[in-house]
Amino acid sequence: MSEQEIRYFATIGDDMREILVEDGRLRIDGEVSDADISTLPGSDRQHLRMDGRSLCLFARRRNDGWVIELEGRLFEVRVEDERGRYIRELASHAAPVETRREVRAPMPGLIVRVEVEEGQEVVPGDGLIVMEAMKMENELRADAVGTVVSVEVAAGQAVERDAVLLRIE
Amino acid sequence: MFDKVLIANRGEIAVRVIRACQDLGVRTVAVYSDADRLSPHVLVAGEAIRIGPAPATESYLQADVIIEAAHRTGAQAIHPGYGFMAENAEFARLVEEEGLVFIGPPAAAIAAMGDKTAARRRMIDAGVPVIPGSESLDDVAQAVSAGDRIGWPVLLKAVAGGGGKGMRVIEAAGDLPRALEAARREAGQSFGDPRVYVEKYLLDPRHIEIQVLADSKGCVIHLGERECSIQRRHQKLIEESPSPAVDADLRARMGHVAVAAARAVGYVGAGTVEFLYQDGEFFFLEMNTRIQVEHPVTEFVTGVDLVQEQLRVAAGEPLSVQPNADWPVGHSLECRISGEDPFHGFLPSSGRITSLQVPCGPGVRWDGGIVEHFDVGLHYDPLLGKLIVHAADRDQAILRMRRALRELQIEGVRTTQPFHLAVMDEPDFRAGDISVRYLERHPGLVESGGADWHARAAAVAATLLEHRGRRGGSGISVDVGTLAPAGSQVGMSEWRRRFRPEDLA
Repeated sequence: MSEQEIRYFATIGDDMREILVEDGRLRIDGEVSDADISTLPGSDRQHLRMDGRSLCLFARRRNDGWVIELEGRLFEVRVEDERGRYIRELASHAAPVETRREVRAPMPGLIVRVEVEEGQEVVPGDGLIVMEAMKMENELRADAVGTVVSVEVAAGQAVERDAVLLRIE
Repeated sequence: MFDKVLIANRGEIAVRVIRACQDLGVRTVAVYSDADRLSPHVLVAGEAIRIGPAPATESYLQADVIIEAAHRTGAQAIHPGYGFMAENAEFARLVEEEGLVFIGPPAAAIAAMGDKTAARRRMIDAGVPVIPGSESLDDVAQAVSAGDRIGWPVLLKAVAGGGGKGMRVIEAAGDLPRALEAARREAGQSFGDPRVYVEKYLLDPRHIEIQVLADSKGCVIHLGERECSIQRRHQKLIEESPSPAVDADLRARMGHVAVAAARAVGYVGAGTVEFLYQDGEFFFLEMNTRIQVEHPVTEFVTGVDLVQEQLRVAAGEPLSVQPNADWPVGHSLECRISGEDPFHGFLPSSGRITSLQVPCGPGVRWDGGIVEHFDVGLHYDPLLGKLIVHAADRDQAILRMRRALRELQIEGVRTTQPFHLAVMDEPDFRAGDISVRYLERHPGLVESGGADWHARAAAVAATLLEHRGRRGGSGISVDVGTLAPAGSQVGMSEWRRRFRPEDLA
């Protein structure tokens, strides 16, 4: 019983690898590779054998890919097959210019003050949110003209890095 | 010896002190804020008392609440750890006034070393070499003449400062007006004392410090040096003992001076005299009047339990150790594992530690303040734990540290682990060619996304998991393959056995 070859595209940042999986064999960018992965039951803990290396890592699914933690390094890997990649490329060309913008937390911290309200118009340089991290206050300012469509946080709230704070249109 | 000790701290150092107490048969009381209800120091202590909400100013810095907790539990002494109130002379005085023992030096010694310019004067009087510098400065003209006298560049520092806060390098007199004003403002905000002074800025020094121990009978000894040159913005990252730059003669000279410095302020307990070392000369930097984060490297190369000695001395007993001509024995390294992202400017990283595996095996010590499922917040110091190794020599210690760093697995927060792994392979570090400017010289250590094989492994792992999810009909990581008896799938590749669970039926 032979399984059909599947061509995957694994992308980390701008770096894409083409990985062919066929009948228990792996080909990475055309190169044959000996690799397999095994999961510790009930956990994110994985063991990967690859090209003579034996590696412990953690893996969690996120959106259209996987978050891999290896030796303390974090990799977000998008994995697509040919069809998925084709559809995404079509969609990205067809999509209108993005007008809605999210203001995200540049670092983990505490929200000290929200300086705008929903519906408020902002111009570049307007203060939006004051955050505290490592005992320093930082003001996040608008960098374009727009209207605040939603405020996602409140004063006193702790936020993670990259948490959405505001949406501006 | 005390019957019961309260530990006025949290995290790895609270666990460390509790262990020392328990090893001496002393009962322990932990204190905790609301954020630390399930923290390791609470879990391992004999008793635990809540002292307030998460912010340190409302809990770990509440002197009266902590003293009240000691009275309530019948603790006879308070160990402050490091940070929080460890170098607060007022707290030490208050503890003594309440009829309790402060496990640390007398309040007067803390105060004498806490005021950095007064400490300089006392050290000069005691014959301790200091970096040429000024008294506290009132205006720009004074600062300029001080700079001209000692030579540019100079370092502008807060009189009441510590931990690198408010320090500025001034290249030339023209930079002073702005810098002086900013430094005074920052010093006032950080320490409640706006006074600043300048000292000569050494271009490429090593940070080398001497551990001292003193008892109340007048015995003061030193336990050799630690080198802590691998720093970022005056925050130490990697420490070791002995220093690759120190031979027996230099060790004896620095040790002699450190003992003189401790005697000059009537020191009792464990303390550290910090020096900058450059071109064969060493200069007094400051004295830390507490147990230090990096104390375990000294413990490894001397076999002395420094925290136990602190407890003995505070209980009025003599030191249980004598200086030993064989010290240092072998070589010890420590890597601080912090919840900081080395690839994004060491920004603090918070989140839940979803998985944790700490290293062990010969010559490896993990002093940790975290457990699995622990939430790393932003309220306290980001130090999660310390990885310390001991081996016969420096080369072997580096190999052992690399091994231990690889065994360490923390999932859920970004840590300094990958930075340390990169340093262990870096040629200058391996050669012992280090200084406080090490990080500036090796920017690649904090820029790189890892070796090519890291990204390749991540891509392959994600692809195999994706593929398995599709084949198995679900994205859930179920591994039936590992449950099959070895050899039961003869003739089928290992890979296929793992990824085609339906074939096993």
